[in-house]
Amino acid sequence: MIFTSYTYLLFLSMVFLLYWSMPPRWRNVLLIAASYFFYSTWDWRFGFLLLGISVFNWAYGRFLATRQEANTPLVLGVLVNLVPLLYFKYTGFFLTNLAALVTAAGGGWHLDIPKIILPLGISFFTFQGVAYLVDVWVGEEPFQRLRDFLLFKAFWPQLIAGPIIRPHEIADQILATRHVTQADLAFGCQRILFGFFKKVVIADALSTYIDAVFLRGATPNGVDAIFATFGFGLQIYFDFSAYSDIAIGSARLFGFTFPENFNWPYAAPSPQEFWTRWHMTLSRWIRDYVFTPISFSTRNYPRLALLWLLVAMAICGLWHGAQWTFVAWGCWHGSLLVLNQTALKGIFTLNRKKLSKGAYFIRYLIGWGVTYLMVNLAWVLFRAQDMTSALSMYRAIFTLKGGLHPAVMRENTMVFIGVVALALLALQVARPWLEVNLGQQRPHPLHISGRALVYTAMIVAVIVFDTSSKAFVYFQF
Amino acid sequence: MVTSHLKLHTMVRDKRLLFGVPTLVIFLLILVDFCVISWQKALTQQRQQNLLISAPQDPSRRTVNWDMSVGENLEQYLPYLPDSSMGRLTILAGMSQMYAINDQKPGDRIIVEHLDAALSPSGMRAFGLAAPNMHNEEALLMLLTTLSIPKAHPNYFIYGVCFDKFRNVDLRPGLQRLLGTRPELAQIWRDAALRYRNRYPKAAEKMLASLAAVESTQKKGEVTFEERLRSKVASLLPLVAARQDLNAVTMGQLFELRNWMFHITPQSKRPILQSRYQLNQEFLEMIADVANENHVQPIYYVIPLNPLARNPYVPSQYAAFKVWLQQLCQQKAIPFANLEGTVPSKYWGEFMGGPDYKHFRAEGHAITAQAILREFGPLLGNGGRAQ
Repeated sequence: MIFTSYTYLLFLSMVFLLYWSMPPRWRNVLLIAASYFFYSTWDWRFGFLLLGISVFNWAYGRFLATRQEANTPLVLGVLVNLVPLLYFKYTGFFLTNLAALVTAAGGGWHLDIPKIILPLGISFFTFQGVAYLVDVWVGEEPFQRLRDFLLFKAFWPQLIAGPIIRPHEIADQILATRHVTQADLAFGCQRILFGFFKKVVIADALSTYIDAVFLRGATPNGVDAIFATFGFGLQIYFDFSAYSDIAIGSARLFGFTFPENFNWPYAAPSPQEFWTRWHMTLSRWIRDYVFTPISFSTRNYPRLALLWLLVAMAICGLWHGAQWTFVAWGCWHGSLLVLNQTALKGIFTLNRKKLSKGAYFIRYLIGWGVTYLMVNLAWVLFRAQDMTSALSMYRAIFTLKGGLHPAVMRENTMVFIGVVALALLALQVARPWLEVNLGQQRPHPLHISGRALVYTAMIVAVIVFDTSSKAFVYFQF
Repeated sequence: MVTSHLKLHTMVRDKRLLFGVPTLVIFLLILVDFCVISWQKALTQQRQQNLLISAPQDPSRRTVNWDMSVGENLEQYLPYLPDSSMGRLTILAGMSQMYAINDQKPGDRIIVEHLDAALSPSGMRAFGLAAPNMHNEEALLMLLTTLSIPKAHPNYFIYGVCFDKFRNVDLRPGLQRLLGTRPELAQIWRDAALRYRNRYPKAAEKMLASLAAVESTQKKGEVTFEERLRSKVASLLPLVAARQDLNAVTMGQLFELRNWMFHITPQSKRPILQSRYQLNQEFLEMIADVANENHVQPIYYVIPLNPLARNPYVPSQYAAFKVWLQQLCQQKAIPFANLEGTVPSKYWGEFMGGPDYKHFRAEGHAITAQAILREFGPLLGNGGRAQ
């Protein structure tokens, strides 16, 4: 059941009506049942995997709360969480590389790589489970009732592709009797509509054109490669932030407040700031559960921190997919973050107090331009099907293969990508004004009519452009 | 205002809700629905003008011998495919020229109807599978669809090859749906991609990518439920029912905007996009190989063009295309004909204020059918006679 399907809207409406018409004590049970139903619509068998991991984490969390002095129980618990992820996601990758290594060393090893179906959302619920055990180990209160933990783990808006929620962000909300205000309902519906619009009207439309350029065996010219690269940057932003919008909006309808996952990432004036605005719950996870513990363990060698930054980002890349392209993408970003703190510190560090308004603006523009360019060039690694394809894309870009003549894209596609990029830029520039004028408690009647017109236009656009629902990019992780 | 389940009814009565944005949105959507109802006829006519759907058919016709949904809902027309165990079967595939009739009059027939009438006496039936702007990946899908139905296994696959369709890629939603809902078709599609991966790497990768895209969204069971739900919503809301018409009109407007921006006219010379061209070349070769492998005789012809109308082809590229196609047919022993100049200029219609270079009047259909029978009739067992 894809978020942008009619089936999901029906499901959401039914659960919403049932939820608010039943006594509070039954509501969490309803949400658990609905979440498992939602998950089972993809493959019911993996519902048992989710249930098994959940029961283990709940029981182990309670056990861990009494063993906070020793490291070994925590390590064991984390390993148990990682085993399904390693098996389902990385077996093929590991075996393929092992076979390649053996062959390269002169041995002949023919290996039938098993075809393992990846359970949807496993990367997300594994990270959530690890975070829970670590947080409990460092002193967070574990969930006492299994029912509450099952909801924390399986609540469908965040189950498949995040936001990666940590126990302290949601525990109180699960335990309390939740309420919604009219503002919550308005917020929830608005975010769901924004998500639908971003996904159906923008991301899906972009994907059709961009897929053709990144297809293995396609021979794009330089112009195609440039537009496809920047186009994919837009596609993945609109796709994934759409998912987060629908997740956050859906949760709010049931009284839950989820953390934000995106905060205008393409307005970031430095790579470091980019990672505080892009997939925020993941970068926070990587920082708190990978980078900080490793850095802390080598705190007597501060220079190693930069190396750990690189390693943490490589792990972040590998988390996205069992391919070297993702590892390279992670390393690219790791290197950018290292440069951000060393050689290019001068470009990326902005200090409002020390700079005049004009100098600040120019420095911001330079930092933003470099960041935007580098982040988008990295998307080639993320999107390409293998390293060979990625390298041929880079070759096409940097040699401007074929001059100004496209080999794959039509001019209307390029115009579309340009229009989306400019619209996003305009929104970023107008954001402060929009936030002040549209966020008022008592909006002007003209604002009400204006909003109604905009929302209606968005709904009509979603209906008209929704020829078929496409899966979200982040489902593959 | 804090609301629990006990206060839900009070929220519904809240005047901020009644006189706020939600009520206005609902009112505006109802207004849009009324507009759609009043535009419905015009929208359908516009799609017909753009050849995205076929013109209304004579309700008294007794036989259906082509996919009248023109690729949007082929599933509905598959039961009409003649039973090839009872006689021989020819499939005629191609783009909108196959079904579009300029200045249509009642009783006018299209190419495949002429062919069927001419071939039936000799025990051969003809069935048309066409779609607007159909390209070679879609033509391959049409062929594999017939091969996936044992009783529709054709003897001949005649394909009207159109040069400018070599710039198109991607399966249209209707055909994606077909691929997603017929497991046997998906299976032979995947098999063909894997079997020809080395010979036609680009086409094979594209086939696998198309299948992956379909499978990522269309899970078994859910499709039917989602489809049924959409149909149900469409039966209640005119806006949803007309979404394809509205989409086509919107896309048409956007294309007109593009044409205006880039000064593109139907006669503007449009260089072929090389990567797309090469992909379509591989697909055309694969169609021939898949057909031969399954004991289906492929037959290719270059479609007729209006000799008086200027077309958007770059002459050198079009000439190279014809040479390549002829060589391909020689190399693979595919019966081939160039029907480019077959239909005299007086039998063509008008398009966007100028002579239509690709769609003709009813006479053009009869002449093209005659030409096909003349060129390939002996092979088809007709001896070149048209009815």
